[in-house]
Amino acid sequence: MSFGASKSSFGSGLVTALPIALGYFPIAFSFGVAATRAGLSPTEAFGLSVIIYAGAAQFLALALIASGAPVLVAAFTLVAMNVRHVLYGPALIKRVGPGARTRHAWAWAFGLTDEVFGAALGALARGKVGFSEPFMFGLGIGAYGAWLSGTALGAFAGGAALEGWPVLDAALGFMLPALFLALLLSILSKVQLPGIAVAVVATVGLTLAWSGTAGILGGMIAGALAGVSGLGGKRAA
Amino acid sequence: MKPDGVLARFLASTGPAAIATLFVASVLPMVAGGVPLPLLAGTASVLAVYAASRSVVGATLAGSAGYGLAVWLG
Repeated sequence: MSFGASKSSFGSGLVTALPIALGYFPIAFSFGVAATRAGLSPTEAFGLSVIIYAGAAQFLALALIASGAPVLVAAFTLVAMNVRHVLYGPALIKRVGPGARTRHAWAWAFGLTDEVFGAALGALARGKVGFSEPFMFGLGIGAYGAWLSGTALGAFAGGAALEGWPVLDAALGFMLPALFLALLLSILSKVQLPGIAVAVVATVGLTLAWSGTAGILGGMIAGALAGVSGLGGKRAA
Repeated sequence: MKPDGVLARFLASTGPAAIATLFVASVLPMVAGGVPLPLLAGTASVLAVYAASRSVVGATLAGSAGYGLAVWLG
């Protein structure tokens, strides 16, 4: 499918990454701010972005750390959240077809976030680019670079840098809840509503009755189970 | 993986459930003593701007701005 188009370059990978980078930067910035507020050092916040490189998982890691969850519990929860990424590499290579180069896949596959995976598939499907490893590197590095620089800037801003501007400081403190609410609105649909409602109720109830950690884990699992049960309709959004 | 299968539905559901959980977890400490005005202002800003623009980034920034404005005026 994609070998009709010429092999694409590192540069076209970077260009394809641009919309992703623009989306990643503010989210990474929010993460940097939230992480330093939760007590992490800027280096630790940056390190989480370098190693985990997954938005929802990083925010969840923060919430779990802040609530004092045992490290193993947090680790296994994050693994469960991110296990779908294991499928992205094989799925992409399968779409490209036989003859796809995978010599450096061990490196560029790290960059296969939901958005990068989607962009790669989309670009291939439109026939604008041909699959190549330089293209995957360009795409991956463009997105990863935005993620890391956003985190670094947010960690800097969320730390003591804004102590002299309490209003700005307070506004930044609300950026994370605002982001979650906006994300929630963007994925809201009739199908997802029961899962979301159950998650909200479970989180509030378990947090008040037990602990923050129980609230987070229980809320996620209860919400996911409610979604699987198909309460909102048969088809997943 | 079957798109309609149990596994696909679970993965699709984990996303919204996780985000909803994180939103509640991040907001709960703020409402400990009753709902403060900046929280209402920030939430209203997010809802309004998202309804008008469907932009996640725009709604997020508006939420921060609304919250900051309420703090400044309060």
